Amino acid sequence: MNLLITTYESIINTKSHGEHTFLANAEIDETRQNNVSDIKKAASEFYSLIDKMHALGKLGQTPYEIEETIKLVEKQEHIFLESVNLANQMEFNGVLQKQNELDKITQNFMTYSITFIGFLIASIFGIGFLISNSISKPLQVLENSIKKTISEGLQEPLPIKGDEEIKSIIHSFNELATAFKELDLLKDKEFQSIKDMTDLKHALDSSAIVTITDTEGTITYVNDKFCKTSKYLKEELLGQNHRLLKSGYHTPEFYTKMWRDISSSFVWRGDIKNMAKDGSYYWVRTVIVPILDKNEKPYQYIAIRYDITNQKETEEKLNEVFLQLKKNDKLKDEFASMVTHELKTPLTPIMGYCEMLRMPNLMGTLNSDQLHSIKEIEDNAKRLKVLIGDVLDAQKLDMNQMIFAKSKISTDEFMKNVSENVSFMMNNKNIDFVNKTEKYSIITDKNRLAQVMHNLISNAVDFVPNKNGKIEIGTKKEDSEIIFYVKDNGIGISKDKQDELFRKFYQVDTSAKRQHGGTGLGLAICKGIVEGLGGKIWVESDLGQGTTFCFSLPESDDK
Amino acid sequence: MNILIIDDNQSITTMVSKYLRLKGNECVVSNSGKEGLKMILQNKYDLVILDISMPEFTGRDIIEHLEKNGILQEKNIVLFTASAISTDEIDNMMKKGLKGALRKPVDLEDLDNTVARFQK
Repeated sequence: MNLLITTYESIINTKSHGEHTFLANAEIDETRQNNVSDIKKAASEFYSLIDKMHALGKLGQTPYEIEETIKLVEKQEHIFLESVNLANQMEFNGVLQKQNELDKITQNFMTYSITFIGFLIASIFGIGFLISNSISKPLQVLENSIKKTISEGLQEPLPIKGDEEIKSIIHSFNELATAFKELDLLKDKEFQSIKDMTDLKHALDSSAIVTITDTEGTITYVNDKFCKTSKYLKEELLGQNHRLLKSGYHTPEFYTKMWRDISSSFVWRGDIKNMAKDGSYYWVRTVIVPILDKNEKPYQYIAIRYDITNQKETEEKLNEVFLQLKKNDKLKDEFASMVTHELKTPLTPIMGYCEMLRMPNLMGTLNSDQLHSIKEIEDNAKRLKVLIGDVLDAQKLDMNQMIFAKSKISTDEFMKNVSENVSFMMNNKNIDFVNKTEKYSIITDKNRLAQVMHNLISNAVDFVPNKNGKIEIGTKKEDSEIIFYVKDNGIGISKDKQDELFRKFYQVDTSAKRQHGGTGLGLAICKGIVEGLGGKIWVESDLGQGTTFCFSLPESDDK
Repeated sequence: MNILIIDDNQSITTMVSKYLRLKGNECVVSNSGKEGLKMILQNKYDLVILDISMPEFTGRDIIEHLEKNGILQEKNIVLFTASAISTDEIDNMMKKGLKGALRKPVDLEDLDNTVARFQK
């Protein structure tokens, strides 16, 4: 196409050069000049058409119509070149008579040119129409949609219509619109997560003491709660090292371990005692979270703390109380053995002299009143001795200090001894006493077991009626356990009071206490001893139904 | 029988010695651990009734001293105690040569039985 234009211009120049050459024939020259002017005009139009076609060509792929036009133009170019060659030849030969021939050629060229231009114009209109249908209209729709999108937000996807080129543009536009839509959703999500983060920070700041330090411990952020607790101003803390708050309570090893943990990217948890600006101390339950860079190395530490000063103070007080209690326990223990010793010592001569006095022929003979008085003193001394023993036993069981000396015993022999030892009580109250013991072998502490039996039998004696009192003792076997029982026909114990029975210092009722005496330690001691010997104790009774106390002991493996 | 009673409580030594004398024995008493030990070492008694809890020099100290000198076995010593001394501890002392123990307050019958054990 460029070649065409260059050639065309050269021809015009040639013609003007010829003006001087063929000056002799003015008329012919004028005609020729007119022709040249026409050619110039046609060429100029042709030139602008070429430009337009170029512009169209730049849109991308050349539409079919334009391609056809270009083919035509190329054909025209060929004819045009031919006429130029001819003109040149004429010029070269300098033959004036060939003027007519040239005119004819010029005329031919003109005819061709005009035909060509006509065709070209028609083509352009046609193309224009086609362009308007396949390009302009969809482009207009597209432009409107873009404007609307900008002003009102995303629109429905456009229908894909029109020229292939335009279809592709609309398709891209629709894709772009979809992408924008997704971007919008992402933006919403991002906004929500930023809001969530802000809310979280708000919640954290209003509940916890928060600081951020760099890896050296220099404070880079503190929240209001931190300032409030430490009594420092924000400005006084920022840029300071965190050790400003050290209380001196913790050992250097404590801090060394903490720093070792967090600098190795481990979360550290612990309680720290810090010192506020005014010198007062406060405790904080602390979590220090190392924040890692892309190389997994901590670049800052976020510490979240809760003020636990009150809790710590309570803890310390409790600890003190606990230590005091432990000390008290020791004192109690010491007191108990001291009391035992100090009470038993004076009882020794009291009971000794009583016994001596009532022995016939040792220190003279007493009359019956004197003897009765001595007997009363001795009985009360004995009761005191039992009480002291009970207090000491209860104390031992409490402190888990009762030692059991176990040996193998036979139940029938054991219970026979027990019966003999209590027979005087039965005789005194005229009680119908029965021993229904079977023979079993058990390994146990014989003296402690006798203490339990004695205790239970004494209780039974206290509670059976004064007339027709009945007490039965015995053993029976259940699974691999031997059950010992003491059964009376006394007043019985209501169900609701049975659980309380084995508690220390418990008395079924205060009137009973007056009537029956005792410290309220007996059953508690029985329970302690039976459990210490590996068994269980319980009661089967109801008001007016009599009472049966039972306890189990494991049967010995070897018989 | 020749019996020594060592107890810091005079009321007890008086009562026990009186009883034992009434029962026909010869009795000497000491109310201090140190003096008691001296008497054990210097004289020969058929039976020594020894209190555990005494100020300064206790019954335990006396037993320890006798044991160290290898003469606990020959001294016929019976403990007389009101304090919470464990049966384990008594058993241990018995192995070393202690002859028995009486619990305070004592039954005179028990005392009689103990004395009878050492009757020649």
